[in-house]
Amino acid sequence: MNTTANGDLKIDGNGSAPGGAYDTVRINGTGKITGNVSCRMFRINGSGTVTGDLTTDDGKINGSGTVDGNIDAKKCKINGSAQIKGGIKGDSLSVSGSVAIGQTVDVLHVKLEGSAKISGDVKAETFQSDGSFELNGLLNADEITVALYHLKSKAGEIGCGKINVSMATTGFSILRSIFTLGQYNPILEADTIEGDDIYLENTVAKIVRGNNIIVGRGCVIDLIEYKGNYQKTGDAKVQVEKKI
Amino acid sequence: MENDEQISKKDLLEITNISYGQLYRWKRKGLIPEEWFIRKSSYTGQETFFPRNRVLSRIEKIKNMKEDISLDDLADVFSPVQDELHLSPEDIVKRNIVSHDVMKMYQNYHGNTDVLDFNAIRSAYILNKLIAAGDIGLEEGKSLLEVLQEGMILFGGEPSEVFLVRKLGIFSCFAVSPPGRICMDKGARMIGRINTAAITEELKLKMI
Repeated sequence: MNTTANGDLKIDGNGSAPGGAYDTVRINGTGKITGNVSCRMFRINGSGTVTGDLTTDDGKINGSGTVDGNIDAKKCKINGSAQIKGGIKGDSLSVSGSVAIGQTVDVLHVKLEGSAKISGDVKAETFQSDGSFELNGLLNADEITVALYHLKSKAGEIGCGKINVSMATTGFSILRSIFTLGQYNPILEADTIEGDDIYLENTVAKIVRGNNIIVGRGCVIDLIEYKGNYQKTGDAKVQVEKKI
Repeated sequence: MENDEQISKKDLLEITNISYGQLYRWKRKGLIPEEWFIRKSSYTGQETFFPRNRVLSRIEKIKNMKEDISLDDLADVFSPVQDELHLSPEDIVKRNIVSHDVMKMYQNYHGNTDVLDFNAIRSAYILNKLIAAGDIGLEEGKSLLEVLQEGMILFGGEPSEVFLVRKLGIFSCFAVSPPGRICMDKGARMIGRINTAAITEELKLKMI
């Protein structure tokens, strides 16, 4: 461990350090930071833990990371796996791999590749998922793009300007088939979906309400309420359709 | 306190002519508070309802203002959190928030101060409004200021309502923290009712 005069914190190998304000924080190997940490740049290469809140302009976890508190980051990138017990706030969040978030996500641009489990609500301008996500609360975003692969995605409620849910068109990928553990069920499940422009495939929902709605192959929907245009294609099953 | 009937989301969108996208955007930005989204189960499953009068007037305000103010600034206006805003008495008069005479009276009561914080400005603003409308006289303003100050201490930053009453020409006022109901002497006449949250919004708009 080495703390330099200009406020950098570097843990090489195995070590722990107290929190505080730093310029750059870098964990190469295994490291633990006790308490809250705020810094301009935050890097974990290997495995790292922050026992408090993390505030940073530019955060990146390569490998595995745990944050017991909240993350407030302009930019936050996770390659590998991360567990955040609090919520995330910031301008961009990008995940390749898997992430579990204990509370609300309030980030302008969210991009998920792999799997995500979020216990709180999500607020975003753009929300993009390639893979699977599970969230119990409200997914509220201006533009939602969901590409379904092998596993089920789930949201309590979805509210948006525009949503596009489709089956991924790319072919077989080893990484993705590892994540699925043999369970092939590429659907999006939600109680209600409300938006201005809605395009759905492989979606199971109780209620879908919107202005323009297209439901495509694999959809099973109890009730659709639409104001503008409505179109049903493929083998979509809709119990009740109502124009408002 | 407010005996508000409720409106379903569907009806709300139809009456106000806004889209789901707008509604959810305003919710994200905090322009429509989380507490106003009331979940109820209905025959079709879950339905969301809103306190009718409050949500309609809020949406009307957003629609009227959104062209010249950014949504984030607007969110500040509607936020119940008191601003870290301070103004000098001269500035307050210059900006037409409070008239010169009322400011002088405020200072007579509270002593001369170089700066007023948001709550103080709000008290002066309420006083100014009532005096300008002829609802109360200068002397009566003192007891109002007292109630406003006491209410601030008692209720903290929470929204409250101040009731102004007059009985046989004698003025009195009291503050209530909602929800609560009041019952008055028949001889007393209510001459005014001030909702501090609404005043806060009004004042913040003046101060942008």
